[in-house]
Amino acid sequence: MGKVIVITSGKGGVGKTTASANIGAGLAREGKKVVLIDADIGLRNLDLVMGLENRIVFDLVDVVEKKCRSFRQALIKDKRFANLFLLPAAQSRDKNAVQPDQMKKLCDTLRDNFDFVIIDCPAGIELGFQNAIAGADEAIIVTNPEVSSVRDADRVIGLLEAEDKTNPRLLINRMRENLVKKKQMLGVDAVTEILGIDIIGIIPEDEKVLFSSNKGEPLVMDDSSRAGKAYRSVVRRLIDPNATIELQIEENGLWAKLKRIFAGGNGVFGFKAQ
Amino acid sequence: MFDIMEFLNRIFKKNGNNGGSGEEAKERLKLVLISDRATVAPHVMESLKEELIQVISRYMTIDTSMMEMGLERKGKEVALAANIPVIGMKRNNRKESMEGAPPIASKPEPAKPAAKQETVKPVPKAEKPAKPPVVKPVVEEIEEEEEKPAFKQTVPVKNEPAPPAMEQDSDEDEGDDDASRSRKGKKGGRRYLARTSTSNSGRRTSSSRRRS
Repeated sequence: MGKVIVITSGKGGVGKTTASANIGAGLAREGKKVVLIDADIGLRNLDLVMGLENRIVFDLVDVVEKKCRSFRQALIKDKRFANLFLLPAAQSRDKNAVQPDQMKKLCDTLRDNFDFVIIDCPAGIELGFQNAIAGADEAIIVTNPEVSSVRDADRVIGLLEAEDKTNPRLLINRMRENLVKKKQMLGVDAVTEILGIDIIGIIPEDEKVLFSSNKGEPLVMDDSSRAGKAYRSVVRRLIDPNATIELQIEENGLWAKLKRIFAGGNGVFGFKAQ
Repeated sequence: MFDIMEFLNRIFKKNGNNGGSGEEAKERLKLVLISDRATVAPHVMESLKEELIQVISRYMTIDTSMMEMGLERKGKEVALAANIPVIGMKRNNRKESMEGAPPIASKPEPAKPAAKQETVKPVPKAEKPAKPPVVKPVVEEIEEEEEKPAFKQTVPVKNEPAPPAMEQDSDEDEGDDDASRSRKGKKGGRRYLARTSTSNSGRRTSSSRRRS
């Protein structure tokens, strides 16, 4: 029995698709059998970020409408990992083409066939969002350390709670530690204090995120990338909730820990490949 | 240009130890989320209102149709503000309070229709309160307000002093029929309440006497 995890945020452009691609590829890299679902019907992009855009034959809507024999026919096998698959979104349809109960059914089917089902949720809180979360067991909320995305994240947390999806975890993306040091950016502790949910990882701002999407290659494969390393630690934590990673919230306060890490200068936020 | 500003700020310690814009972002977010969360879940405010009505009704007869409650924001604080017109005081309040549903005391003035008082009934969570059946013209209400003592309470949501009553409407319950109804009488109530709140000491206790 696999786990269905939705990657959501409310606000657009915070890095949901990048996070989905990297978490999916990272899990596959750890040997897990993973399927990525692009739930952003009409605005599909996960295929492009994954470099799989030329292989699409069937899509999510075809599966739901049973235009293909089974979901397997629509799955695109990743170039790099044999155990990573993508179920792309339909590009010529809109969000109304799928209903939450259909998504739920699909997730239940996929859960039996994969270790992880990662759903890339569209921006917004309308039907597309409702579809994406319908079948999810867990949610990862992506936010940037910036007022509008944090506010939207709070809204999404409320909506998830209303659907009995408690315990979402927070992924803070595009963190710039030098600005946090200068107190010109919301820090990790500020964001977690405001939103009041557990954190699963912090991804530093990294231009390599752009380079990797240019090439269509997930960042987790790049060992020299700071963001890639950060995604790998997120993946470790998904596999083992007790995995000790450097940026865990401790009782003695994250801020103190961060300071220590900065002072020690051993990597970004102390992320070390363990 | 920005560099110059930053330089000046640094000289004048504007971005000193207790925070640059990041700190400001945090404070602003905290405040906006208080009202966001209240607006998004109107049933929370609604059940809070119902419970407040129950509690206050043990001690006073209040005009629930004129009651207004909401979060108000002014500057760096958010406050829970309630305007609750008081019609009369109750004598043996404690005894009555034990009897479940808040009792409706005999009204000192028969002008209000009896049905109005029914809104005082405890309403289960998330259920809309019964609509006040009669909404009188604003002009009439203003006249009445002149005599009506009022109970005004402003509770700061943060641990900060209560902000003064504000003129502007808070906009939760947008589109709610009940809310828009109660707003009709808002002006009059506010005007009066603003006046009493400046010199309200002793008024509350003498209110029932004044009335009769």
